[in-house]
Amino acid sequence: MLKLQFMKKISLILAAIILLLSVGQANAFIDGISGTSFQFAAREGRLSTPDGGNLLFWGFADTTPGGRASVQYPGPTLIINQGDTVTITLANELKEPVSMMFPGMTTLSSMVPALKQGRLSSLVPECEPGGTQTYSFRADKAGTFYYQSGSNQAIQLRMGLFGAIVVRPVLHKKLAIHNTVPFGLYSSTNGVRHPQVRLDYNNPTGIGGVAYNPSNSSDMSTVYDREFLYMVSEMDPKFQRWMEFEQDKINKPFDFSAWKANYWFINGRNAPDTMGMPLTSKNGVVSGSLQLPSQPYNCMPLFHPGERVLIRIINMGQDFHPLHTHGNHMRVVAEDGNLLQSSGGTGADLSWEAFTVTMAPGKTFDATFTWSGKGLGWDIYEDTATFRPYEYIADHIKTFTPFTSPAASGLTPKLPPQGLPVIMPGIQETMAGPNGSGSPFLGSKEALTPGEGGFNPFNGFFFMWHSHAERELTNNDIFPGGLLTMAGIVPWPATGDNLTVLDEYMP
Amino acid sequence: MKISTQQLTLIIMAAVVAFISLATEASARVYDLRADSANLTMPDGRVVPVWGFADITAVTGDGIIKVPGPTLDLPAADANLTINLTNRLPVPVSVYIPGLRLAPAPASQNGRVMSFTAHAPAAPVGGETTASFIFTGLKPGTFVYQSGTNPATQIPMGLYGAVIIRPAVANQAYANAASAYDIEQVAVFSEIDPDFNAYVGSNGTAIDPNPDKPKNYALSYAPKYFLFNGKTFPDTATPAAQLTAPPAMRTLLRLINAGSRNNVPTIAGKPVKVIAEDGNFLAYARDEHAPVMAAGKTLDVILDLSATPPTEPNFFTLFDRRSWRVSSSDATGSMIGFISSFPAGTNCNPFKGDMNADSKIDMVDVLVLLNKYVNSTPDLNGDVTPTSANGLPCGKGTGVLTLSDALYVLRRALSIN
Ligand SMILES: [Cu+2]
Repeated sequence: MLKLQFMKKISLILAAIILLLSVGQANAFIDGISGTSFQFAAREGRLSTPDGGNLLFWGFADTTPGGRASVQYPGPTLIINQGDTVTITLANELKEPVSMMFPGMTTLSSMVPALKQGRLSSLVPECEPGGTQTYSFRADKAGTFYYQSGSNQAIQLRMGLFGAIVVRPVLHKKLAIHNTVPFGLYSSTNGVRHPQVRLDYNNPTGIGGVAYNPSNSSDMSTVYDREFLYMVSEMDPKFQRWMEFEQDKINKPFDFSAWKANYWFINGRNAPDTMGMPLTSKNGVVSGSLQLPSQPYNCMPLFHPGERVLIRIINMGQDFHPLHTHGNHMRVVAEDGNLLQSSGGTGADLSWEAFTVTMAPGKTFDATFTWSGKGLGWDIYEDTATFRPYEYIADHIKTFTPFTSPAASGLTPKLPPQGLPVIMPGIQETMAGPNGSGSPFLGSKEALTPGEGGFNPFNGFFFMWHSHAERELTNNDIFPGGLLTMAGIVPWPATGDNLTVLDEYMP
Repeated sequence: MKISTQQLTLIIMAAVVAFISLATEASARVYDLRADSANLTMPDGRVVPVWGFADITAVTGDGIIKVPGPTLDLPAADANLTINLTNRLPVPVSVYIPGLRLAPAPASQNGRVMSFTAHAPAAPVGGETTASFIFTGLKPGTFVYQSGTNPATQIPMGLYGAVIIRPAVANQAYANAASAYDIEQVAVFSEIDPDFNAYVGSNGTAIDPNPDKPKNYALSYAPKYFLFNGKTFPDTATPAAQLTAPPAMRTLLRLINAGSRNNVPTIAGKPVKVIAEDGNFLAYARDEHAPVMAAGKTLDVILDLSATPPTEPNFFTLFDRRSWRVSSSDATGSMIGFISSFPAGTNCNPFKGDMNADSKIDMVDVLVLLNKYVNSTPDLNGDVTPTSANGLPCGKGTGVLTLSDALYVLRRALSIN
């Protein structure tokens, strides 16, 4: 059922998407800048939308020596450590005052509201055009936060003056609690049971981590193998054009009651660009999505079955958005940077499981997600001989009988036992889309219509993570696009159960 | 039910001293409310017709039509609440309180339900009608009362207000000790579409039947002013409109969204503890810096400053993170409120220095201050220096003006941070 829906979605959605870029490379960590002292500049820039559009935005640039230096949407993601005192010196290259505020942080610089022409202009002291202003805060709490302009917010937030803050907890990669974790229902090749989480989080050179300081030695609630940022925002092109072209803003004011978003972004990009390569800069060498110079961050969660993924959700827009994860439910473990626990982890568990999370403006959520194929009722690997890493034991060797075709002829695709007994159309009559593999099995490939596929070299499964407000799946009225990305389930290397073997797509 | 003089005396005493003394005396509070029209003037000068409630209860009521309406404050001893409504509006009006028990008696017009409950019929020109509503089984919490008649029109017009029902223990919002507070404040959020109000205020209906160009103003409802306790920015910046959360204290904020939009009240610089929703105490409080206030919702949140030294002044902004507003050049029309947190006996309001009370600090204020300085006229509003360690203009507290006060106001007038 799930599989059928998935295949159908893949065909419907992905067949229509013209991927401008190749499938993104996933980073185990969120892309961003680290340190305790930064230089930022607020300046204007232009961003690209997949429908060929081009919009004015205001953003922050990391002008710290060695930084990317160019303005970006959203602003640079700050990745800092709990307890750090962070200082940002902001230079304002815009024509109106801007400022920075850090909800959830302990602000050390002044919080006295600023006046302009005698009226309140900013919730915090601001930076005049051409001037500089220094802000400082202490990250007393671990978690997912954001910074934003405190000036003229109705304009400046809609223009893009915001960015994410990830605060690593004191106990990040300093834990030794994995031995206490009970083993789960997942197997390895040799039949030894694995816990659901990979438990690489306490390996100093490993990929995993912990989002919040565990309350006690058995608190695994925010331990993760991979983390992804899901920062959403919106734009109404009418407003962006008014900002760019209206010469007489006083006498021809923008009617905010008529503001209506027509572009939706994840990490500063609209689908399908969300799934493109990130723009990275290593040792001065810029690579990746050169076509999106001011939108460096992608959102292409790629992970292995059984891995626990942390999704850091931030809504910097004005509207509420329902985030729906296909493939499995997510568990919301923190809100506004506060763990959803009670009595220091010894009381009731306040986390909640959902297939749709209401992303509210100005809020952050941390959610964990694991995909194992658990309970599908069939062996996702088709392979009847051996266990694969994190395979759901109860479904091992379960086949598709009686619908299993004798061989991969490519003419009668296989169906799961709980699927409806329909006659699937022939290969010439189907579309698989660029991410199709032709096979319902993880890691397998079967015949595709000529010209199809090519974006799924590992033969993974793809699940849509998207806004469930369907209008938001468009780019200025062109479907599909908007607040949408695909999460890819990448099969474990077939060579065995060596957890350190990582293929080229999964650093 | 008629209230005796003796009971009234007790009620007044209760308001002044402590309501516990009343506990054995009264079991039902009676509010006499009047629904009538009024005008609100927006900060950009636009006059908006509204419909509101006035408290016309004998002795205690002030009879003034307000938006939001008068807060109904009920002591623990009251098992029931009776609202005697007098309607002077040209439409039927009723009162209901989501979350409290009221015998349902939907009223219809032309075969269609138009009220959730029985209503006071439309008032004849120059006259009035009446109806009574009895709410039973009261329980502690924060609620909203609003018109139950044609609510899509009547609530946006202003027919709403706060209801506070208290537990037996003083300085607690609920029976649970975790709801204890030192001081409480009410914040009602709502919004106004001036075109909607203008049409309904003149015609009594949102439907313009013009055969050439029919229009339903309830369908085109597009609010432009976002209200915080009935005021929109910058009118919310006046000391009277500000909320108070003193240092070293726990402040209970009773947040009510009486509007028809969802909003996200955000307190810059300090998370709050959400202890109750819709009048229901939460077994586990939630720390949030941006709680979601869905339309019609009430939240009780604690702004806990008990760890702040009593001598440390602070100033918090409470703003709707959705950032809607009317003006594209400044924040006029926004839902921005302020919470002052000043040591006892001090005024550290960052908007001090507005000598002529026109909601802005400019050169006129500098001149007024200099004039008073030259004439040795004390003025507490101009007494802004010395500033506190975190930059707030607490002043000397004497009102004696100095040149450094003039310099401070000059810097503010010149937008020098
Ligand atoms: Cu979906």
